[in-house]
Amino acid sequence: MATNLTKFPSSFFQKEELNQNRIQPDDLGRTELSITTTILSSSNRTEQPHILKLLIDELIPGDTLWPKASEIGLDNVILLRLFGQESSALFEQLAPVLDCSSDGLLSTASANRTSAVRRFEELSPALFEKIYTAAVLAYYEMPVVVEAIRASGRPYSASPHADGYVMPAFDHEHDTPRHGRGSYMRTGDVTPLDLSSLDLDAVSTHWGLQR
Amino acid sequence: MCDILIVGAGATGALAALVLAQAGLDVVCLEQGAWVNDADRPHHLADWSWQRRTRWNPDVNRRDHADDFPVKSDSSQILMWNAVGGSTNVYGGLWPRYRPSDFRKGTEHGLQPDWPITYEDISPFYESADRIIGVSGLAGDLAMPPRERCPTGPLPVSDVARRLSAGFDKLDWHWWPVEASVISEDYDGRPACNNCGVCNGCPRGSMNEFSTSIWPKAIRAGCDLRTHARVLKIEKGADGRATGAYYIDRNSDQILFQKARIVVLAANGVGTPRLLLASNNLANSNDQVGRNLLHHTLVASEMWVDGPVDGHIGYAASLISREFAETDISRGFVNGFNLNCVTSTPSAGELAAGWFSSARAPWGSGHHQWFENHFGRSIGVFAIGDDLPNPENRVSLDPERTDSDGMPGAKVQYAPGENDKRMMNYMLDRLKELAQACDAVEYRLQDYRDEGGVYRTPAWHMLGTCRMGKDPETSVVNGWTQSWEVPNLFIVDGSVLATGGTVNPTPTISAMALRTATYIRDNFAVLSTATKHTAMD
Ligand SMILES: Cc1cc2nc3c(=O)[nH]c(=O)nc-3n(C[C@H](O)[C@H](O)[C@H](O)COP(=O)(O)OP(=O)(O)OC[C@H]3O[C@@H](n4cnc5c(N)ncnc54)[C@H](O)[C@@H]3O)c2cc1C
Ligand code: SF4
Repeated sequence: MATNLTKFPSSFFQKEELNQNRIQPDDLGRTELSITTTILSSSNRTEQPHILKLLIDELIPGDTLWPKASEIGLDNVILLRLFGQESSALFEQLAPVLDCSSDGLLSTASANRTSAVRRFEELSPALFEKIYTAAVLAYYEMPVVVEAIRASGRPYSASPHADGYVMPAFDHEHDTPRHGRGSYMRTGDVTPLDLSSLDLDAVSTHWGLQR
Repeated sequence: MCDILIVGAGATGALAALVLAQAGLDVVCLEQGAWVNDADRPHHLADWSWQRRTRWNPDVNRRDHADDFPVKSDSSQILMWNAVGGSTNVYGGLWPRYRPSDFRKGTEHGLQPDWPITYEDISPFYESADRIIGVSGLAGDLAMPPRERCPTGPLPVSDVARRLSAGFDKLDWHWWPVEASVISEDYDGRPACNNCGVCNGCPRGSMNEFSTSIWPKAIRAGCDLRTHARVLKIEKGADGRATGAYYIDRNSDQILFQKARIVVLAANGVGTPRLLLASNNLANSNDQVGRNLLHHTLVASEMWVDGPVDGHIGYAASLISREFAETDISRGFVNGFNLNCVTSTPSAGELAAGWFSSARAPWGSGHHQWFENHFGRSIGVFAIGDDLPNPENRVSLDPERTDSDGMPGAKVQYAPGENDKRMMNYMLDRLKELAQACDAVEYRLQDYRDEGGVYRTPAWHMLGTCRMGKDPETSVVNGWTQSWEVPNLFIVDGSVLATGGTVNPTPTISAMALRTATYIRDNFAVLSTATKHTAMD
């Protein structure tokens, strides 16, 4: 049985004080930015859902095999996942960086819409990344999209954990490697190496993909 | 007063509790987190791939959960889970062992210490860990010392594994089916793996999650596991022995003190040094606690081949290559690495959103074409190597942030050294060769560096921060993982590993935990009153 302390040991840190510095919410945009909207002000709030639909259709358009994003309700999923019920938070963040004018996302010309989205990506890569990632993940969860994947001829389950996939069991006769490669050093075989050629202290390596 | 107080109910806390409770000792385990509810696991939810990036993100800093503590770090991620079962709630279950030379790096080149024990000392505990945990694999790998037959046979060979093994054969490189803490046949009351591929833990129980397979047995044996019990401080008495621990019962917000004859820390390579440092620098008069953090050298590649290999199907890993596991000075660095071949992501969405590398489906008109060309054709390979210890790579207390109970968070500093960088360059070149040998039509290498060139590893292995050694000046615990300074204080988690080896560490961590628990069990009477650490031969 543990002892309940009535007196806190004096060497302890101060709980109340330190508690104020708790970890802040995650990086999904829920605590970020609060920018005054210009293009998407409260007066044109009815436009807002429409704008998100237009945006995601630029991100994931449809074709004969694949539905476009708005057709399967992705705008609602994105709103819910990234901003809870507060759609205004999304639009407040989008307003300064996404051109929703008739020459931008609302344009009838595809090239103008693409430019508006590209500019959004350049101006606010973090927000773009959040929306695009959320859109892509949600898209491939949708039953109609899963059907499209299956139509390509590959087995695919959107919730595979329940039933799994069938695979032939390991066949010892055929699947055991026969290459005969591999060796290891036994404990007693480990002996000192001469490192003088390495110059680990003197040489500084430029490393990585850009080397 | 209990006989044994264990801090942390993760992989090692579970194994220690099992051994000690089954021996009839009075064992209490304090765990800051909760039980993980199976029904709540992402695997069952339609939006599981979204959950893996948010609520179930294995990065402790990307989920907002009161069970966690904040870890300030330059790494791109800090991967751990704080709950009964610890990080195994989200781990991948790759289960390779160290090799004999991993324990002898001091003799080999002196840039790392020798372990105070040998491969032969730990080998029987590898075998018993495998039996307790339930492992699949194939004995007979010439690149490893002989081992007993695995409790279950190898997992099915995926098309990814076939494609990779053909590439390895072309290069004349070693490869072998990967060992995994995943059962290929029903075992110990748990069902065989169903090849679903969603391997971040496994609520089905086919992958050993310590919460579902080990903890129930430890509790049946009498262990008193208290959840939502965050240990704030280990207390030391006038005789230099640990007397027990202050902890907060997070349900009632009461601070309690649990007295114990022996204290066992199992809070992982970040949590254990954090706790010792927060306990007035306990066991740290030589300033070694938290230092020499090892994450492994890590780079990766993602390749796409010209026909379907259905990498979304089957257990997450496929093959291992130990071709480069030993030091070869002619490569320009000491130590070795292994190639950890996985499959691909089980989620079409994850593939399209970007999985292993910077590649992802572009937005706009090319999106679907990209997906059609890449889905079912992707393969991932990690190269994992033995990084050299650096005392400046360390865990310390975060002076700014605290957890939800006011305990200081952890600060983690890690940067690769010269030898590590050379090794990673060499690894990147080999990954390129492998992709070419597999006839990849496209491949991307991943060096985990940001735009500024800073290496930001996704830190998933937390090792070495209370390392074992022969020398009390340069280590924190002795060969029995007993504190040099506090004789009834033992550490069983990955912080005691003296070197990182070239592979995923949990089989070695588990074997070490079993070894220490067995030692405590067999010497309980002496240890429960000892005022000096045990002399080692
Ligand atoms: C995403 C991911 C994938 C991985 N994949 C693999 C793999 O494929 N193969 C492999 O070998 N390894 C893998 N690992 C690593 C593996 O999970 C760890 O090595 C293993 O869980 C370590 O066990 P542990 O007992 O040391 O720590 P943990 O399992 O992390 O448990 C530590 C426990 O201590 C508790 N704790 C900490 N501080 C306190 C405190 N102050 N009071 C009370 N409780 C406390 C924590 O809440 C936690 O439950 C992976 C890890 C992650 C995160
Ligand atoms: S592939 Fe096997 S081990 Fe992985 S989650 Fe599915 S059933 Fe579990």
